[in-house]
Amino acid sequence: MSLLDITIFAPLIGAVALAIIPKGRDDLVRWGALVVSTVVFLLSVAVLLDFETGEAGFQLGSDLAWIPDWGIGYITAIDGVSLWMVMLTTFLMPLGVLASWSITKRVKPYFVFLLALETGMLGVFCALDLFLFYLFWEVTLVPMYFLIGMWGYERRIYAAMKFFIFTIVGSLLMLVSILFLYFGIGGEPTFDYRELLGTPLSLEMQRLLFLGFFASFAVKIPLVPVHTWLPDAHTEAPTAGSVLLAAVLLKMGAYGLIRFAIPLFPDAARELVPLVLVLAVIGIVYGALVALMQKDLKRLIAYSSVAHLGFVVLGIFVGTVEGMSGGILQMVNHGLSTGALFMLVGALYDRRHTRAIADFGGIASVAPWFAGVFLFVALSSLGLPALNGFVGEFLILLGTFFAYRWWVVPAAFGVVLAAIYLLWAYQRVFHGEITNEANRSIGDLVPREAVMLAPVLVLIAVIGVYPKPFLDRITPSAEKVIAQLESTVIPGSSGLAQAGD
Amino acid sequence: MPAFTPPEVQLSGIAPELVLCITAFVVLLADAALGEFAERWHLPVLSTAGLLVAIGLAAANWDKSELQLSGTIALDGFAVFVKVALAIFAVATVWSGRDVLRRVGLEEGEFYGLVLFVTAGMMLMASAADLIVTFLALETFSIGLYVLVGFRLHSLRSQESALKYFLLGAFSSAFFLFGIALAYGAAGTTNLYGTTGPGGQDGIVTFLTSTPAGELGFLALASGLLIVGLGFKIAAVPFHMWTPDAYQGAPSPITGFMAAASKLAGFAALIRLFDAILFPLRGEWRPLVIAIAIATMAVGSIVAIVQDDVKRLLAYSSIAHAGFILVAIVAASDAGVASALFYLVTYGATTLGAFAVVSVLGGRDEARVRLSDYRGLFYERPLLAGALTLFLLSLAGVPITSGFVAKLLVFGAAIEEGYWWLVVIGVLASAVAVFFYLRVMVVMYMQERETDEVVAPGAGGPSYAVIGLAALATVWFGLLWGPLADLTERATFFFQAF
Repeated sequence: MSLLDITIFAPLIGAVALAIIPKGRDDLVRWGALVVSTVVFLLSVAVLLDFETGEAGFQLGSDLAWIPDWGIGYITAIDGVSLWMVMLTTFLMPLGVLASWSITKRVKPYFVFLLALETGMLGVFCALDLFLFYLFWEVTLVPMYFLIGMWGYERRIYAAMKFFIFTIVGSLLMLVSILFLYFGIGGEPTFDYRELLGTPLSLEMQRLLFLGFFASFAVKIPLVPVHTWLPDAHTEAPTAGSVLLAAVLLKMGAYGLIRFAIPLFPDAARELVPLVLVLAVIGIVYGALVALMQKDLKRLIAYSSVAHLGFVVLGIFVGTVEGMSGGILQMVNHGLSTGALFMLVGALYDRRHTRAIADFGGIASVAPWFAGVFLFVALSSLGLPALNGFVGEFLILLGTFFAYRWWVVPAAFGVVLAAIYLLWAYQRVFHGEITNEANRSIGDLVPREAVMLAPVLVLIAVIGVYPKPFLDRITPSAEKVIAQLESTVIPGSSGLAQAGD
Repeated sequence: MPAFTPPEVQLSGIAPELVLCITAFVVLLADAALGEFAERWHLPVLSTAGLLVAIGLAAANWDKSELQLSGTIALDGFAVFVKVALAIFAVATVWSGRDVLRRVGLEEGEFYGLVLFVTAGMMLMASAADLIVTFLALETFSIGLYVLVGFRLHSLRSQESALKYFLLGAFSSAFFLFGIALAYGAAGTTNLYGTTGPGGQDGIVTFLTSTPAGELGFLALASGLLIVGLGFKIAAVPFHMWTPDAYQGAPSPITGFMAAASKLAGFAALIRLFDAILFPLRGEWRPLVIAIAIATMAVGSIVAIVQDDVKRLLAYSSIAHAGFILVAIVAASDAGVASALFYLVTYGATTLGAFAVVSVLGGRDEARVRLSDYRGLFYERPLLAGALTLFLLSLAGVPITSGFVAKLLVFGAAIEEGYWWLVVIGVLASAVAVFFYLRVMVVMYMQERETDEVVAPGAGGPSYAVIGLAALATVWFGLLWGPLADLTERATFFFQAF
């Protein structure tokens, strides 16, 4: 058991500990969850310090026999891609707990599910055994389903169902691909990802298997046209649920593409690049256009996620190191800024019990700090230079320009649209006269909210001004993935098994 | 004058069945003799003791591979594995049944006696090496089950479902018998493996290997009818019509027993017949089984969506599961048989647990089995709701439960044989099935109670023990399933070694 494994399972242990706290001790549960999630974050910081910069391969973690007769091991490790996903998860979790302070009904199960979810998410990013990965992948579904369904808003049951069904259809298709890799190609069967890399597969086979994985990841990311679960789930989920959905769960899809779909089936991935790029760009433009039309603030942010994740996928698939690094960094950036936006909207909802843009107006005059923070985060989200979103989007566009010059045009159009929908929403909510008397009593940020938002704002600025420490750790792994994307595993062709190691 | 030599009668092969029958008689007599005195623990303890002895006797034959009683009883790892699993299911049924009986005030002795007789019949299914013995076993356990389904004497629904089950069951028996007749006409024997020594005769296996492929038409026809007969028992579409009614009407522990044990016994006979004996004919029966598997998965999963009665819902779920297991039969490989056994055993444990929860929540007379009766259950009985959630997630095939591993192994076995497209259909069906398992969870967790009526506790320790053990098995075989998977592989190892 390495430090990484302790980090993965610490939240689950914390969840069990919370579960046995007797009824009626809600404050103890809240503080307990905060302590557990903070400890997990500190553990992950220790992991970060252990991480060797400049190393492209996997490090830390452990490799234990689990069900050896079936080639299943408990294998965990991280590289530059998963490192930041782990950090993002552990970083946002205490903030999610703080954002959930306003939960007053069924407090205990809420935090138990929240912490169990964290173990699932961390496991997804660290598992290097396909069986283990699939296990964590599916296990994240259950707590999120309950979080949406039990603590969400009016249409929560519909949203929870839709979320679960969409995801599981994709997941099951991925399962068929995983099973095929294990049972269907002969040789010594194994679920060990490191051994499966470079498995010779014909192009037709790769295509089918890639599509199986892609189905699952495309739903999760989500790509148009399988994105329709997202606006419902994000809108109906409680604040912390929306934060984690947007910041972490969506990244699981993009991460899966980088970790599994591309390295295992590079020829199919190369062949399908045009299709994926089209879907990504449609996502960017469509997501932005639909966001523009939204009357519900939370729904607006949800659709902005569709657009942002389109950018991420664009970066991953253009086949340049710049694009890949930018895509990975943008996954972190989107987690921070969209996470913060959901926290802010959640805080607004706590005050006014509405999310409709039309119900607000002139809030800046009664809650100036609130408005300032919101503007700051919105600017980060729309890619203002010197803030984090710019770095990621710039790298993605640069990488795209190198490889597919003209695709930059619609993608850049998406950036413009992002500025429009975010600033317009900001204007309608925070500027102008107060038209609704109820808004006069809206209070400014309370200390709890300030504590919850401050770390995000700091990171947004740090990445925007000095992204080097982040990119230094990402780039080697991004280069490796690009090398994998350019390799081939078709039997008989030259360059076979380049994808290994 | 040659001395008279009595034929050698070996009983070790059917010793478990004999012990169960004897125990059943003892239980019935004890019930009559002890009367009031027998109220408390004697009868279930006695039944359990008999079942444990049967398990021991069955397990003693684990390494054997032989025929007994003139070649009508096969003794091999496969039979042993199935028998032990059946006996374990029966123990769970006895104890969760006890609570219902005491709550409703039904005759206890007859219940245990019938469960034991039925278990004996099911066990015989697993080791029958002659179609006539298979039929005998089939009838033995079916007739017992007809009575058990109608055991809630004062309930009209229970009576009705028993009658329906009886009529359709008799119908299917006729099909099975007709299949036997055709097989006899084709092969000249009903024996599967044949016997050696003086007076020995060829079995169907020998017939299959010695006859040119073009002349096997009648046997292929017979195999079709045998599928129909067994298809009723395993609740495969289109022979599933009785299932929802019988499952709904039967006392919940018996419903669980039918889902777990009846399915296992039916599949045991099906596996021996098709994946072992009629293996050379697989080109003929495979398309039929594929069609049945697809129909079963689809109908079970889709029709379950609109059910409002939890027992009917679980009935359709059990139909869908029969479809998944049939996918393993289609694979017709050692891995397929092993995965089917794994599936049957883990599904059995899960479904017994689920029906035990339904039984506990049903209250007196099983009045509270509608979905709406489960509203807000999590807030009143969090542990029961949690256990039921675990069982439902396992039935849905979500990881860390045994149901996921079972599906993984079954689908893997099918992919290994090149049936990946059937697997795709299977996973889509299970995605549909997820919907109705979620519906139950929605009701339990996300809706509020409408009435102030308190959920009846209505159960004693044994039911909770059954639920707890089933939950443990569900998680255990979901995470540490290696040993059980090995065991099921060994259970196929002796399979064709005659």
